[in-house]
Amino acid sequence: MAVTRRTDGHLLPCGRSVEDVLDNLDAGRDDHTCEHCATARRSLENLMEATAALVADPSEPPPNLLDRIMQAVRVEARRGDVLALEGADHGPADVSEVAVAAVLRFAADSVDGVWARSCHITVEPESAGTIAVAMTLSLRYGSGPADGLLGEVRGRLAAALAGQVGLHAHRVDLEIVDVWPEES
Amino acid sequence: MVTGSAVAEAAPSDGGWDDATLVARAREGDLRAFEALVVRYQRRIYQLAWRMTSSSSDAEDVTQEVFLMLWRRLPELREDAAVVGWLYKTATNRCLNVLRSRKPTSEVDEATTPSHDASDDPERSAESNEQMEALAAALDRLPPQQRAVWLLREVHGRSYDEIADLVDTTPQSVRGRLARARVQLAEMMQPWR
Repeated sequence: MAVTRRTDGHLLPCGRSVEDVLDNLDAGRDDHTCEHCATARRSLENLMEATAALVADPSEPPPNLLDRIMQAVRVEARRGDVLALEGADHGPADVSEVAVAAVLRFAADSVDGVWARSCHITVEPESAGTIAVAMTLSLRYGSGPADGLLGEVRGRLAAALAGQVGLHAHRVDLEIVDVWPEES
Repeated sequence: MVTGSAVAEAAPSDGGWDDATLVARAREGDLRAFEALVVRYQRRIYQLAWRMTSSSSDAEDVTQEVFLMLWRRLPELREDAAVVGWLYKTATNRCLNVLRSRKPTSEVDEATTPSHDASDDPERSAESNEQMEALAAALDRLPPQQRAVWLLREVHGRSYDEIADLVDTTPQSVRGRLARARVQLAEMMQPWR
C-alpha cells in the first residue's frame, strides 16, 4: 500500500509520517524502524484496543426512550395527517382499513413460509360489505411451490374476512415481491 | 367494518422480519412493525448520537427526532431495505446541527453517562472503561465532521461509499479523513512527540 513516502501526513521526528506507520499496522506488516515509529505504532495499537472496547460497549439507551418515541408516533398516527391510505377517503374509515389490513396480514403470516408486506384495501361503493384486497408477500426460499402457498394464503384471507371482519373480498391480488433465505 | 381499537395488530415484537417487511407494514400504519424497527435500531442510533454530542439528553432527543422523522417519511422512502442507512444519515445530520447550534462556550453534561451493564470480569471491564473514557475524551476534541466519519466507520462499520454520501464528499476523501482522525485520536490519547 504505502510504497512511496508521504509528505502530507503527520511527520515524526525521524521524518516518516504516522500515516505510513498506520498503513503498515493495518496491513499487518512489521515496522523495522526507529523508536519514534515504534512509539507511534504503540499509540495506534492502543487506539485500536480502545476502539474495540467502544464497539463492545454495553451501554443501553434509557429504558423509557422506546416509550417516548412510540408515544410521539402514536400522536401523529392518530392525527392521520401523515399516513393517507391509497384509495381511501380521509376520516374514520382509514382507521378501520388499517385494522382490517392488520387482520389480513396476520392471516397471511400464519402460513408457514409467508410474510405479508403491504396490504391495500379498496372498498366497493356499489356493493356493501365487499372489498378488494391487494397484498404483497415475501416467501421463504424452499417452502415449496408458490402456487400452493398462494392458494393457502387466499384460503386464510377469505376465512379471516368472513370470520373476524364480516366482509367479502370480490378480488384478491397477491404479488410476491421478495424471497428470504431458509435459515432466516 | 371493525374499528381500529377492536383489533390487535398482528405483528409479534419483531417476528424475525427483515427491514423491508417491517417498513412496508409500518408505512400502512402498522405501529407494531414500526415499534419493531425502533427496537432494532434505537441502540445504534442512540450510541452514535451520544458519542457525537457527549450529552445523553441530546442523544435522547436526536434519537426520538430521527425515528419520528422516519415515521413521517415512510411514504417517501425509496428503498425499504435501506432504512438503516437512512437512519444513520438522518442521525448524523441531526447531531451535526445540534453541535453547530451550541454556543462555543457551552459545557457538555459530563456528569451524564449511559448506564453500563456489569461485566463478568470487573478488572477487564475497568481497564477497557478507562481506555474507552480516554478515547471518548479525545473524540470530543475532534472536529464534529471528522468525529462522525470516525464513528460511522470504526464503531458502526458503515461503508466508505455510504459515509461519503453522508458528508457529501468522495470515498477517497473519507479514507483520508478517517486516517487523519485515527492519527489524531491516537496522539491525543498517548502523545508520541
